[in-house]
Amino acid sequence: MNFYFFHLMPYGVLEQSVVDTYGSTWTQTPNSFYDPEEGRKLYERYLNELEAAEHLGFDGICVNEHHQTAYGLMPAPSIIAAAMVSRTKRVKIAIVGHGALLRNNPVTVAEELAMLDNISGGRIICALVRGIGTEYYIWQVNPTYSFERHREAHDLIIRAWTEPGPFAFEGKHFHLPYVNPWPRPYQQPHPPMWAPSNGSSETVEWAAHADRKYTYLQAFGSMASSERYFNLYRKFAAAQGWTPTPDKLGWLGPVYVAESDEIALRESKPHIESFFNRFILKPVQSSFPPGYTSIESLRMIRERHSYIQSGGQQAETVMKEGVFICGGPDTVRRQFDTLISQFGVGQVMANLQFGTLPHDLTMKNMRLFAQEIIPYFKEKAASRRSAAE
Amino acid sequence: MSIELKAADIDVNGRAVRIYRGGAGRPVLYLHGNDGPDSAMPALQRLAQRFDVVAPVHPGFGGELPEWLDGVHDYAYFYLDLIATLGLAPVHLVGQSLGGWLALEMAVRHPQAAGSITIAGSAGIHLRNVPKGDPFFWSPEKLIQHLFADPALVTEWLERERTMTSAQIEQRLRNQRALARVAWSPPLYNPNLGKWLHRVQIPTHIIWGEQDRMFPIDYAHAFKQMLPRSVLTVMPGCGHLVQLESAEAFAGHVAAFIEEVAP
Repeated sequence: MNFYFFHLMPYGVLEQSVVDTYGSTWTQTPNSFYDPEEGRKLYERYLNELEAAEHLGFDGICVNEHHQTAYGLMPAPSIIAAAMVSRTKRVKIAIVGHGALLRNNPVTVAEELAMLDNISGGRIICALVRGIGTEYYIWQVNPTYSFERHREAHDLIIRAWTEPGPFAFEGKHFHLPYVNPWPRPYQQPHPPMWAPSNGSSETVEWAAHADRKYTYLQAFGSMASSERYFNLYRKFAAAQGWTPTPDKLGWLGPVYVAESDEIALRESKPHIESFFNRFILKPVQSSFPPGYTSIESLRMIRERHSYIQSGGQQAETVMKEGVFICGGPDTVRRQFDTLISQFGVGQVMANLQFGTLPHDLTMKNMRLFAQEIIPYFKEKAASRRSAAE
Repeated sequence: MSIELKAADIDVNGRAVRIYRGGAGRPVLYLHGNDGPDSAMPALQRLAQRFDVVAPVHPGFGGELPEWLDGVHDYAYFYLDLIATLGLAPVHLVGQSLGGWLALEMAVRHPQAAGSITIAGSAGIHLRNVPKGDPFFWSPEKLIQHLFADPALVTEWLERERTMTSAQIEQRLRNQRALARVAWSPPLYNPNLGKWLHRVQIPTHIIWGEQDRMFPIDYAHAFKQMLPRSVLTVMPGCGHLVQLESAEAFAGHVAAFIEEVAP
C-alpha cells in the first residue's frame, strides 16, 4: 500500500475575474497575468511542500506536465523532478505523466528519465500520457492520430530503454534510423510504468495487457467510475490470463482532511471550487479536439452537457460523487476504505494542494493525511499480509 | 425548377464513396467544405438543370476514417481516380472551402483532368497577418456567428445548434474528425501549394463572399494573383458559405462561367 503526494503547482494567485473575462486559463488567459515575483515565490513554496512529503512519511511524490495554463506551472516535469531528486533521499518520484507523443522525438523523454533514474538511484516512476485536448491546439499535433502516436511513442521509449542500440525505429509517426541513448535507466529493465486516465476503456485495456501489466490510475473520477474502470481492468487482465495485485490499481484525486467534517468543508470549500471553476475550467471543444477520443464518448459529452470541467461545481457535489474526498479522519478513512478494501486500490495519489489552497492549510492537510490516513491503511495492509501468511 | 440528385455508393479502385448525382450535360464535380454537401444541395439542384452534377461525400465525412487518409494529397489522388473511374474528364471542378483546396491540389497534379475550376471561399494557402477562422478551437456558437453575413441566418443556425439530434451531433463529430485529419496542421493550408499554382493553366473562377470571416477577402485577391487564368466574382452580402447564403446567385455565377469558358 503506497501513498503519494501529488502536486499540480497551480498559479494560485490568479483572480477569478481574470478567468471570467477570458473564459479559461487554458490557452486563453494572457500570460501577462503571470507575475514573475509571485511565480518565483510559488515555485519555492511548492518545492518545499513536495520536499515535506518525504519527512512526513509519504512513499512518493508526483509531478506532471501541462502547457500554457495557470492550472499547473510544470510544462517541463523533468525539471521539477530533477529539483526533487536533489531535495529528497528516499521518496519515489513519479512523473504523471509525460506527453511524449507531443514531441518530435520521444527519445528525449527516454533520455531525461534515464538521467533522473540514474541520478536518483532508481527512484523514478514513468507515466506516458496523451496530454489534454488543449495541448493538441498548442503543439499542433494532429489529435486524430492521438492514440496511435501515443502508442508509437511508448513503444519507442520502451525499446530505447531495453533494446541494445543502435537500432532503427520504423514507425508511422516516428522513423528514427539510429536509436542508441546513453545513459540507460538505472532500474532494469526500466522504471515502473503507470497509465493514468480520466476513464477510457481503451487505456484500461492497453494497460492491462499481459505484455505491459501497467498500473492503471483513475484520475479525477467519481467513485462510480473508479469502480467501473477497476473492474474493467481486472476483466481485461483475466482475459489475458493474469490476476492484478493491488499495486496495479491506483487512484488520483483531490483530498482534504481536517479535524472534523464540518471544519474540512469550511476550510477547503473555496479552494476546491476554485480548482474546478477557475483552474480546470475549459470549453468542451478545447478539451476534446476532433478524433482525440471516440465518436461515442464525444457524442455523450456533447449531449449530456455534464462535463466536469465546464464549471459551476459545488464542493458538496464533487464530494458526493467522490471526485473530492473531504472530511474528518473517519470520513476520509471510510472513503479510502471503499477504494482500498472494496475496489482493490494499492496506490493512492493524494492531491493535497488544489487551486487557491494556501500554504498553511496545505501543510495542515498533508500532516493530517500523514498521521490519520497513511498509518491506518499501512497497518491494515500489514495485518492482512500477516493473516495471509 | 430544380432536379433532385440521387445517392449512390460507388467503388473507386477498391475505395468506397457516396456520391449524389443528377442532371445531364457537361460534367460538374462539386467538392464540399467542412459540413458535407448538404449546404450546397439547393444550388446543386439548380446546376443540375444544365449540367451532369456529381457531388461526392469526402470519404471519412459522416463515417469512419479511411485507412488511406492522411492528408489532402490523398483526397486529391482519390478524386483524380474518381474522375477516371466515372469518365468525367475534362470535368468542371467546383469546390467550396476545403473543396476548393482539393480542386487546386488536383489541378497542380493533373491539370488536364479539369476543363475549368471554380473555387469559393477556398482554403489551401496562408497569408501572414491575415487571421483565418478556427473551425476547431472556436465554440460552435462562435463559428456560426462568423459563418454568415445575414444576422437572421446566424439566429436560425444558433437555434438549430440547440436542437440537434443525436444523429446530427454524431455526423458533425465525424465531419470534424475527417477535416482535422487533413487540415489540422498546418491549419487549413498546404505550404507547398502556392509554389505550383502556375501549373493551373485552365480557366479559374474565384467566388468569394464579401463578408467572409473564415477566409477574409484578402485570400481571394491572393488567389487571383497566384492563379494565371483567373477571374474574381465577389458576392456582396455573403459570408463564408456563399453556396448556402445565396444559392441562386451562386449557381448562376458557376453556370455562367462554365458556359462562357467551355461553350
